[in-house]
Amino acid sequence: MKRTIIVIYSLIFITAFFLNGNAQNTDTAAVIEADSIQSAEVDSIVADEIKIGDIRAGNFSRSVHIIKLLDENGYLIHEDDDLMMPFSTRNTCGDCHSYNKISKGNHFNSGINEAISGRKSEPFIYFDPYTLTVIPLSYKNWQGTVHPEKIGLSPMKFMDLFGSHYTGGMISESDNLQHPDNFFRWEVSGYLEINCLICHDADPGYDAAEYSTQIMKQNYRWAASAASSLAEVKGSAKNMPDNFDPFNSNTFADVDLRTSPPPTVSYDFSKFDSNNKVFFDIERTVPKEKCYYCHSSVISSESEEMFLHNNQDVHLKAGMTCVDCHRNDLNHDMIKGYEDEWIEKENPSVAAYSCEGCHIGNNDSESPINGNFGAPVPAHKGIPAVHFDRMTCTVCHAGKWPEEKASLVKTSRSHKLGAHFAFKSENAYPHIQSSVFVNSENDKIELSNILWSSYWAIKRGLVIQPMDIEFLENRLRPLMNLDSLLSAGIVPKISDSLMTYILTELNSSDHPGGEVIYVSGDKQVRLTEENKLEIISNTDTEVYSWPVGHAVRPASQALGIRGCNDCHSYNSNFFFSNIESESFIESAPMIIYSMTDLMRINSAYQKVFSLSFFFRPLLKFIIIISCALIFLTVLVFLGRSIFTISKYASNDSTLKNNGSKS
Amino acid sequence: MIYNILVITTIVISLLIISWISERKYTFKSLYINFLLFIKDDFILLFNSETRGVLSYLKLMRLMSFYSSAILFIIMALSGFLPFVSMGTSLSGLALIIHVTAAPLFCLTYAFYIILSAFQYKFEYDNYLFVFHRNSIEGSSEFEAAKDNVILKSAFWISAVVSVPVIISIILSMFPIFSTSGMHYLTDLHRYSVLIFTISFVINIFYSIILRIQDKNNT
Repeated sequence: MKRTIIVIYSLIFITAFFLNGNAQNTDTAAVIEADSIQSAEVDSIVADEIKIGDIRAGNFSRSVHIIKLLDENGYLIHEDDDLMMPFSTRNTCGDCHSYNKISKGNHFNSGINEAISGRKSEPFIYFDPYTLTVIPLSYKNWQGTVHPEKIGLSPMKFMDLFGSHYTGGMISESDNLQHPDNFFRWEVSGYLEINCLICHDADPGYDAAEYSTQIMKQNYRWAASAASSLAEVKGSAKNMPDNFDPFNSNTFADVDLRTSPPPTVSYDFSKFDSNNKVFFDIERTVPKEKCYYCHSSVISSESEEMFLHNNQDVHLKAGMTCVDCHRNDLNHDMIKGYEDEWIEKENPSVAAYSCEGCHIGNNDSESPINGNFGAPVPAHKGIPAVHFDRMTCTVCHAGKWPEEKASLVKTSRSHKLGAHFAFKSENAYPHIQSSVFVNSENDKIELSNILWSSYWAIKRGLVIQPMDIEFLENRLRPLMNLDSLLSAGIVPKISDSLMTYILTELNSSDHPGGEVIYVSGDKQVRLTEENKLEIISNTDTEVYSWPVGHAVRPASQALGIRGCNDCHSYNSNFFFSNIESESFIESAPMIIYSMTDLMRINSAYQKVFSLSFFFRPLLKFIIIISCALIFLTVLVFLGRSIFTISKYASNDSTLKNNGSKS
Repeated sequence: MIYNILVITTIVISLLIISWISERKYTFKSLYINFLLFIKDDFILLFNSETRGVLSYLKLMRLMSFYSSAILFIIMALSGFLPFVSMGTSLSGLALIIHVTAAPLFCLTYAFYIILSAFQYKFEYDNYLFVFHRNSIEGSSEFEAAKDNVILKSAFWISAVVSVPVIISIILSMFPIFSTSGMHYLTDLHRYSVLIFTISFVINIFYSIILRIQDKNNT
């Protein structure tokens, strides 16, 4: 009996123990799960946390920024520091503003796959004068551009090439976007954080060109500080070995300080107050000159006399700034200002900042949206409505008045304008043709810039893939042996013999499978089985176009102001201006396209249609006379008929009345 | 969309009218052949020196302007309506060029046709009787002829009246007078008035041919 009781108690005890254990495990799992959810929520809250500087009380006056400088590790920068470090915008500005939220803005979000690409825009143009390669690159999903990764361009290499006009953020600071090969270089150069000051620092001493110089020296960590008027940076991270540690002065010993000084920063401590704070002249409404650093565009032939010829955008001359239309809120998702942007962004208020929204309005909106800054409503008297269905506003109102031949333009990002190492030659590559009218993706003609691509590629079936640039730099540059002066703008050409030699060599090299070809402008070159060159015209021309909205001309200089003949004359530059295809192949003749080719309209049709404008005054005269004759005839004869009928009717009624009386 | 439906409705009504007129006595083929024969005969007469009296000359001119108007009308109707019906797009491309080229010629010939036919088509006592005292002539042999005559004249004058807004709406849009919204109104005025014009002119054309055939058969 005793034994039975002991066994029962033991069973109850063991069961209770297991049950309790399971319960504890479940509780622990639940706690961990709850913790992890909470942690994730906290993370996401932290990621997009709205900070004190992001909440505006509603006062329109200027916020004065007297703040402490923090370095990339969050430490205060102080005069007594042994090793001066550059200030970090992530920590200094991010102390009061949500850096993470801002980093998703469209100036900084390169590399985020989920980011809305929006309407295509100016790409970063890879131009290598030694391999005669011109490729429009973009991290955005724009048709016609190549993703940098597809030609083996790591973010580090991308920064080397294009960082001078890059605002920082994402590809230049996100760990998970970097190549392992560049790990040590990033440690030396530091990450290029979003440089808030490049747009918002209104201090006249802010030097954007110095920022570009620092980027070229790979001084990413130091660039923002160097450009500000608070600090001076010397040395170059590019010249430092991979094991260089800017936080450890012992590693300086490995460097020859006489020929390649390490990057160091020194602050102007006279600008620090007694609380170790500095004044930043921060402007929320970014001045237009700030935007110009990366968004200038000048007709190449007029660059030397630009202040004589170049009229700025009529809006800017009237006192507006870029950000009056290209607005953004905290997320820095700038409004580009194109027609359908509000549909893509699912935000009807965005419609107010397109040309049409501001100048004409939208009858569907609940309240009037047009007329900001006194925007006039255009009458467009006598212009058939089909023009507004088929063309964007910029076609008539922006860019250079069409000339016999499309003009070359230089842009800040493509020609490093504004930097100390700007491409100043009139013919400097890459060649961007401007004021070209192109049929866009939404089947409207729009004012655009175009770029002819040239690149070495692997062809597999119908797929053409540009080759890895590192492979080309290593293998092709020695084969071509081109003079570096070619980048100054002298059009180089590859002779047939050199082309045959190069293609033979590349095809026999250890490249990934497929046939090596060279695509240049509207031509493709390949080697036949007999080792002869075959030049094929591209049916789908290798031209990348992107719409441009500026500079807007005054209405009195818009196309059509002098009548239909501005565009519809027999040889009008609007339809028949020459677009030259650009090719580096010597034996391939340059093809001159007409503007109508890019508009995707029939050239012969436009010629015939323009003849109707030649005879139009006569036609108008004939129609007016005919109409007048018809009107008079109707008036006389129909009036007379009505008079006759009414006379019969009155006679009838008289007879009836007489009959009834009799 | 609404306009597309209206265009299709207009075409259907026009075809129904043609078939209704034709079914009475004539096939469409016979109408077409007779129309071409009339053109040929009248053209020969125009250049025949024996017929060159002032009145006969004017009559021939009237007929020529009618034929020209009818042919140009068909060209304009096809170039104007087909893009809408087939593709649902507004007038552009080759159709636009044809439409724009034919338009002044049509205006000119149509104006001649109206001027030279106005006297012939003025309403008279017979027409008055048919409209207001139909009972008095109903059942007589003249009833059908009177009916045809009234329909033909009505169609003629409706088309003449409507042609004024059709033409004016386009000519005004060629001058820098109206703004964008005004241009839209003018385009709409042209588009809708031309539908009425089409129906009335189709009736005018076909009744003219039928009456001419009847005259020819009677003589």
